Amino acid sequence: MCAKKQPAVGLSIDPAARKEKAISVLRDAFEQKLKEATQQGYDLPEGALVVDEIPADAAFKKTVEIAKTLYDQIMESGRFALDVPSRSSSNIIYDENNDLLLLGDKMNRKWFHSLTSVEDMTQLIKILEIVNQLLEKRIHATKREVFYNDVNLFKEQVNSDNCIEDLSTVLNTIRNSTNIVASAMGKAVGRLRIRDQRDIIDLEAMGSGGWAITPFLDNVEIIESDAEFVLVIEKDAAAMRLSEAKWWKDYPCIIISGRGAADIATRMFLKKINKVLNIPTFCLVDSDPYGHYIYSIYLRGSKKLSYESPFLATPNIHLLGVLTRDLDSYNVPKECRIPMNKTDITRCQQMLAESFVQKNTRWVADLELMMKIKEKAEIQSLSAHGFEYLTEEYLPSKIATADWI
Amino acid sequence: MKVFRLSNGQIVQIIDKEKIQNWDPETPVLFVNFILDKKLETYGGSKDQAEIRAYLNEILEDIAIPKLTNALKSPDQNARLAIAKSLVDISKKKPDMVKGVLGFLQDAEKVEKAAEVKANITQVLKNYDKALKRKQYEAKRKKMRELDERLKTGKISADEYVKERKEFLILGVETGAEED
Repeated sequence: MCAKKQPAVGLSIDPAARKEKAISVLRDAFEQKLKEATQQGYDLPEGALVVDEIPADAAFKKTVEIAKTLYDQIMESGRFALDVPSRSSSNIIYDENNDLLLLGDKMNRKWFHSLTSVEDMTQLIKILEIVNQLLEKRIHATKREVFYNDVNLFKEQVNSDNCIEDLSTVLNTIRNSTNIVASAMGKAVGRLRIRDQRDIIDLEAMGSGGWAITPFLDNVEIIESDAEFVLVIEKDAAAMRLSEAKWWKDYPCIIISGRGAADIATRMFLKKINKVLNIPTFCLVDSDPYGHYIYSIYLRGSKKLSYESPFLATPNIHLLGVLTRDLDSYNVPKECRIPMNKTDITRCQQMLAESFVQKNTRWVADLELMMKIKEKAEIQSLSAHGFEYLTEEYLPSKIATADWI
Repeated sequence: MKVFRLSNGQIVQIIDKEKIQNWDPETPVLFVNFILDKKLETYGGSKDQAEIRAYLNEILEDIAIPKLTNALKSPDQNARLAIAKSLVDISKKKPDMVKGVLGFLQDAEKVEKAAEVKANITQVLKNYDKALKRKQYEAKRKKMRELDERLKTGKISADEYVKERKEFLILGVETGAEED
C-alpha cells in the first residue's frame, strides 16, 4: 500500500471552473477535428495494398471468383497457384502522412504442386471453403472454431490464424468481412446509443459493468450520442472507478476499457466511434513502456495486421496519461513507483527507435524521461492521493490544461 | 451524423435519416420513440429540444411511419410475422420502447387475417398494457402507504380510503402482483 501524499500544488483549483475549462478545451478540439474530417479524404500511399471493408454478399462473391479461378487453372494445366500478399516485415510500409502501418504490394506465389507450399495451400483452400460457407449462411465463427473445424489439417491454431490473415489479404478485405471474428475483451459505457440489428442499446443504461463490445461489429451502428470525447483506458480497474462514479455524466464522454492489450474488436469499435462522431479521443495507460506500446497499437495499428490498419487504427488518438512527467507533476509517491527492469528498458528503446515515435517530439521527450528516471507506475498509483483523485483531480486537470501527447 | 450544437454548448449527434432507410421496419419508430422519451429532455433548453424534435418528426413522417405501416400491410405474411415477433420480444424486455407503435398495431390487429400474426400483435399490446398497469400499481402502492398513515391520523375518511384500496386491489389482480 502506497503512503498517501499531497497532490501537486496548484492543480487543486475550483472544480467547477476546471470542469468549464476542460469542456471548453474539448469543444475546441471537436470543432477542429470536425473541420479536418470534412477537409480530408484518405489516400493510400503508392504501393500500399488496397483493402476495403465489404458486405457479406460481396465477400461471398469474391470467394466464389477465387474458387472459379483455381478450377480454371486445374482444368487448363492441372496445376494451380494463388498469389498471396506477403505479410513479412519487409513488405510493411509506414504511411507518414496518415501515421499508419500498411501492407505493401509484394506477392508470394503459392503453388499446390510444390513440396514447400502444398501444406500451406491446402490449409488456405480449407479456409476459403469455411469462409465461403460462413458468408453463405450469414453466420460468424471465431478463430478458435475455425481451427477446430479441421484440427488434423491445421495442427496448431497459429496455422489456421495465418491462413485467415492470408485469405483476407487475397480477398483485399479485412478479417471481419470474412465473418471470422476474434473474441472481444473490451467494454464500453457512457453517452452513446447504438443499434445492434433490431436492438437499440443505450450505453448509459448498462449498469456499472458496461456493454461488452461484440466481435460482430458489422451488425453495430452508431445512432445517437451527446458525448464530447472518448476515453480509452488500459486497465479495467481504472475504468470501473470511472464507471462507478458515472464520470460520463459530469464529463460527457464514452469510456472504453481495453482490458489490457488492445484486441481487434475494441480497436475496431473505437475506430467506428472516431470516424462517425469525430470527437476527440484520448488514451489512459500505465506509465510504462508497455502502456506506451498499447497506445501505439490504438494509434497506428500493429505490424501483424498492417493491411487492416486503416480500419483498426485511430491516428488522432492522444496519449492523455499517465505520462512519465505526471509522476512528479502529480506527486506520485516514490513507494508507488516501480524500477524498470531489463525488458522495460529494451521495450522503451524499441519504442524510441520507431519512426512514428521519432516524429512526435513530445512523445520522444516523455520516453527519454522514462529512460532517465527508469521508473514506472500504474494508473492506480494515483489512488495514493485518494480513490477519487483520478476522477476528480487528475483527469479534469489533464483535460483542462490540454496536457496530452 | 446530423450535429446539433445546443445553446448551452452541448453537442448532440443523431444518425442521418438516409441511413435509417435500411433498417428493419419497426426499428426507426422505436428509435425515435426512445430519444423522445429518454433523452430529449436532457438536451439543452426548449428551443434546442424543439429543433431536435422537428428532426425526429421528419424521420417519423418520412421514413419510420411509412416503413412500419407498409410492412404491417405487406402481402408477405412471413414479413409481417417477423415484425410482430420482434415487437413481442421488445415488449417483454423493454415495454416502454413499443409505446410509439401501439396505434399502428391496434389498426393492424383489426385487419390482420393471419392468426399467428394477429396473436403476436395482440401479445405486444397485452405486454405493454400489463407493463403500464404494473407501473400504475407501483405508484398506487406508494400512494397507499401514505394513505395508511393518513387514515391512522384521521386525515382521510374510511370511505375515501376504501375507494383507493379497491382500485389498488384490482390493479394488483390485473398485473398478477402480490400485495406487500
